[in-house]
Amino acid sequence: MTDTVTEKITGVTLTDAAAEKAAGLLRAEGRDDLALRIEVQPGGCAGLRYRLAFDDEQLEGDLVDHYDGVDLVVDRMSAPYLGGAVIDYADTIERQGFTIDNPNAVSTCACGDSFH
Amino acid sequence: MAGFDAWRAGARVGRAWRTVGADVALVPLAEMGPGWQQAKENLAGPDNTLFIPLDGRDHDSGPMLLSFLSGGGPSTLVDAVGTGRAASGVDLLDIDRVRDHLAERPLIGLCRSGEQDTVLAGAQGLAGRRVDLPLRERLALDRMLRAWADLLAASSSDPSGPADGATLAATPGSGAGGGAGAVVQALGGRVLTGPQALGEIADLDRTIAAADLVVTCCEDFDVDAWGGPVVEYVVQRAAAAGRPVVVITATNHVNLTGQRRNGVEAVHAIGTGDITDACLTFAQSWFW
Repeated sequence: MTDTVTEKITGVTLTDAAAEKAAGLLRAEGRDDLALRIEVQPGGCAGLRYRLAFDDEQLEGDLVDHYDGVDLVVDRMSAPYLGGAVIDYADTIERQGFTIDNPNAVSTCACGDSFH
Repeated sequence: MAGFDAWRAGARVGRAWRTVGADVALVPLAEMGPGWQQAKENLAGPDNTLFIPLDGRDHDSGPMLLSFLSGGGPSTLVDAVGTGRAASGVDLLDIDRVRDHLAERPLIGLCRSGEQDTVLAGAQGLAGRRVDLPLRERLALDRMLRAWADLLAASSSDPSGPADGATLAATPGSGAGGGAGAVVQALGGRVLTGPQALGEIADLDRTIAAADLVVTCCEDFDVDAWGGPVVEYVVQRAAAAGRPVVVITATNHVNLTGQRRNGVEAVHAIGTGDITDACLTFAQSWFW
């Protein structure tokens, strides 16, 4: 993982693999008006869950980090729960898709989508 | 249980243990509502504490409560936040006047079990939990709730009150009753569930510490509700004291493994017959 030098406004780090994958998805859609938004919501088996999606809305208080080909956005309510989190992307036999490693999570459920 | 209020049901269960020779202490517990009021009257006579039911659900509940206690004023969140001008020094909420009117009576907000730790603002607050709303609306509502908390905190001169709005908005219980808990806390009060409040009045922890066995009751014991909030509270307090708990219920749907995993030593299902008669043999098995 690179990009450990720059302080992240969002507090969240998007790995090169994740940024490349997200940018590729945007290019495939022909959209340059979307950003990758990560949000924390109540729910899931462990109490809180992530929502990772492309979003064209800019909301008051949004924190934004710019990567090559994609912007990462975190809303004001979710930011306290995501400081230090890392979003990665893997495409192997063992693991596929975006993953979120969050040092704030005391515990996570087996599905990986919910945390406490 | 069996149509009886907490006191009468407990008395019938306790009679079984008394019959086999045990000393019995009876503490009625109930969720907020008519049953709670009856249980409180059974426990203690009139006292100075003001118990306010926090039974609201929507985000206007806090302003509505304060408006009620003040005898008027903005009763919706939009109006309260829109008209509050704490920054200019004009205090339209007048928390101090309400506190004076309460004449320093202890204040307890009674909330539904499960809400005693809810917060007013943030991702787990009233707005954050509204995942049915678009994020834009959730954020807007959260901003209003934070502004409301700022007004509440700023309008109080009580040094024991919340330090600031951010602290108040993050205090467990501030989100109870649709945010009415924050008003109670801004007034220097506390937010408790029905069983917690009755347990405090009765000094339940001291009673449990002196007991060899704790017996509680419910209508149904199943894997959905595990007997309900009163049973949950009793199991928690008994576990803290290292005392075993048994549950008397009309119907039981949980096996012994499930009971033990949830802190219950045993469950005795009595069906619809006489409570005391149905408990006698079970009580005898626990008496030594």
